[in-house]
Amino acid sequence: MSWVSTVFHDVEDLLIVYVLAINTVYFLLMLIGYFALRKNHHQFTPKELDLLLKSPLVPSVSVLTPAYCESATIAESVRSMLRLRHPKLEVIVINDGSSDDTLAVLIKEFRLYRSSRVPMGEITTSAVRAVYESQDSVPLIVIDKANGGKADALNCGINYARHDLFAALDADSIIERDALLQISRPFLERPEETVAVGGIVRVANGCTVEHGSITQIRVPNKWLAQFQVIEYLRAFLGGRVAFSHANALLIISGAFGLFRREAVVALGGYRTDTVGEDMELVIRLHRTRREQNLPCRVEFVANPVCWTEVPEDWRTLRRQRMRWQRGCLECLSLHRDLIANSRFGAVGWIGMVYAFACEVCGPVIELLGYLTTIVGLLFGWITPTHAFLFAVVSILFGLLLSIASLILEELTMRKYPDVRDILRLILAGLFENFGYRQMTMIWRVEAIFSAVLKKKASWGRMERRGFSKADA
Amino acid sequence: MTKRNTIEVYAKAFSVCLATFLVTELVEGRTSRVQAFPLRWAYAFTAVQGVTMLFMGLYLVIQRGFAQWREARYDRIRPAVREQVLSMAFEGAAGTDRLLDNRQSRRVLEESVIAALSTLKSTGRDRIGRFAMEQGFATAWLKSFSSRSSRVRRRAISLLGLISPVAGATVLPIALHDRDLAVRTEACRALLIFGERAGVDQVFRLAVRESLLTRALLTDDLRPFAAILLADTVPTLLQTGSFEEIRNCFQILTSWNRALPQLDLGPWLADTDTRWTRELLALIPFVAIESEGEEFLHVALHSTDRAIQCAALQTVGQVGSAAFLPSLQLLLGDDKLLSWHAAQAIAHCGAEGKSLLEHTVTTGSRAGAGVALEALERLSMGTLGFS
Repeated sequence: MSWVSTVFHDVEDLLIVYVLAINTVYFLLMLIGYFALRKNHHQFTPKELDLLLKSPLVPSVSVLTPAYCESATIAESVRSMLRLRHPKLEVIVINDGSSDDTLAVLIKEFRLYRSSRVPMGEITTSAVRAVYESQDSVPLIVIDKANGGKADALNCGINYARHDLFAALDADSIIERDALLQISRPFLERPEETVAVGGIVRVANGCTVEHGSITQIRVPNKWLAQFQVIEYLRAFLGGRVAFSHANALLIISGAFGLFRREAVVALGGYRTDTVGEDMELVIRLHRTRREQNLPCRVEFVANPVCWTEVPEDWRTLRRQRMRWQRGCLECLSLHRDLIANSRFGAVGWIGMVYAFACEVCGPVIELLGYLTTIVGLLFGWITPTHAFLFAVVSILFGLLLSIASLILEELTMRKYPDVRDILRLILAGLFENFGYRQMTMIWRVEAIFSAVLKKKASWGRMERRGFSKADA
Repeated sequence: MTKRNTIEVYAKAFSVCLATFLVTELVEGRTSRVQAFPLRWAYAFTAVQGVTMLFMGLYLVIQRGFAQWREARYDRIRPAVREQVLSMAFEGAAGTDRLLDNRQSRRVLEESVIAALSTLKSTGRDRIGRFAMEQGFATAWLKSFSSRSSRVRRRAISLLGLISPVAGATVLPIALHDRDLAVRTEACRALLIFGERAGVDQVFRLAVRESLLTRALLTDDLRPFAAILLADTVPTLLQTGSFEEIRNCFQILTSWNRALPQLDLGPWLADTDTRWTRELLALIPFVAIESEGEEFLHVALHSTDRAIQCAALQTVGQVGSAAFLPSLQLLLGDDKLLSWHAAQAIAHCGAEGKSLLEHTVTTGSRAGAGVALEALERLSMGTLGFS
């Protein structure tokens, strides 16, 4: 059996080097993120925000919010969106064939009348049943259409939007009042180049919400939600800041992004045949504009915050993670010719290569590492030193990344005011490496296999608890 | 501990751990249980990171705990200091000297002075400004302007701009040429607060060269100086400026959203250059419209550029003249965007426009009838507009 032992040793060595390399990349992204945040983390002061509110030069924004069976929270969400501070704003809610009374709630709460508003865009979507507007002086438009999915609903909203930019927001998220102005910054600084900007998404579980605004920021009580707080910080403050710095950002979260409407309409809007429509749109923007020699800048701004409720049960979380992984795979598959293609610059060489090596291959190789280690140890084919080294490289490094993301948060945003919250997050960063991380890795591998086997992906539904004071 | 120190602590901890590992490796290299070269490095790197992580975790908790403790101490004296600073501002009363004995009080005092400077106006602000200079705060802010951090420089400029023209005189002109946009904008705003003619002129010239963000931020602050600027600066700039400067100048004038009777657009309306046609069209409602303006609008309405046509339709809507109705009616065709803009413009043209829309609803093409119906609905709801 000595040849088996040799093979196992060699494979284990390779896996250790790979995991080490991948974690080092993550760590370097954190460092780049730190320096980029220090250099570019400009936030409008309250005085500047007041000046921008009075200025007619700020580009107008249509807020698009697809809603599907959201009757419990829709009225509060729309009120929160109408409270967003922006000089020229319209809110478009797209009722995507809800089977509950979402539309009835909206009609009653906002005194809607059936409007004759005509669409300006010509993106093909499911049939629109009616368009409503408010009788009160609020810039609210509600489109009632047949069910067609999130991407279809957004396309429908783009057709009816009339402003220069559109913000795609989730109906169940809470946006900070000045977030739209803050996120508009790149469009004001570089109006000719900027086509899309993403904001940071943070976990709202545990926070106190009053009248559609976060009034107290706290870490959630449940471990599963705490793990996700760490994950979100790591992904947004490390990865996205660094990729944005290199203009290689491939994803703008579907929960909170701002796009130049004209650029998206020119592409035909969101694709409806993928579950990763947000990522796909960004990649297509990069691709098409570069092919046409048009300027293209996709940025991430770290200060405007969108608060979202994350799953607190394993089943929903599994479904969400599998969908994300599936979306990523579909996007990479659709645009595979961009990978390491020098014609597309940093997007081809940095963004796409990273997505392929870390997001697609990463979970498979890491899972292989765990299996090889366990089997090798059981049969005595690898030494305990090797097994220990693998555990150290994968788990200890994971912990380092968690702490680093917390430090990044502390040095730049400092959203959590209580020191006890920081301690809880450090502990969450430690414990997520024992079970949670492995589970998400397994789900991602499962998603890869289901994609290979061409199983149909679905959105599924997340059981929303809704934001209330009880969350505190 | 500052952010820079944090990085230094990290770098030092990393170096110490790495050095320790290398020494150990040199001494025990032959007996190391981990022989493979990449594995040895993996082991080393992870060990080093592990120790670093421990340090960083500890730092994170300790510094946050310390910050909370310090804030709690400041909170105890903050109300008293603020009260004394405000009484000095309103009554000229002194008495803060006893609070300046230790560093802690001084920091709270600086905070209170900044808060008072930002909120107070006229005499009160002058008093606090003098006090800030006497106490050496102004010198400290002036010194901080030489910082490498743009955030520190920006803060320095915004504070110096609140004190007096004398304090800011030396740095504000330098700050106008700072490499950071935020610092330049802050300097512009400080100069506009002082309101001196030369400063205002300088700011306007800078605004037409800068990004849209700067123009958006300065619009409101520049508006009170419209008359001064239109007398001399604007005409000179329109004669000598580059294409971008002229376009941006038109943009600023429009954004003031006020009548500009002094502005003579005649030569520009006669110009056939279409590069700034859209900006000129936006400006027309604010100037005295003569026959040449109407002619210019007619030409723009029949332009081959869709963006210019839309801009012309918006202007016609703002002007609300029924003389354009025949031209507008022709645009109620199959092009959705143009039709919609045309319908909105028609709706602005009084009773004649309304009857034209009603006629279109019954006899027009499907697209034309749709936009006409929407315009009529908006007219009845009082929500007419171009977005």
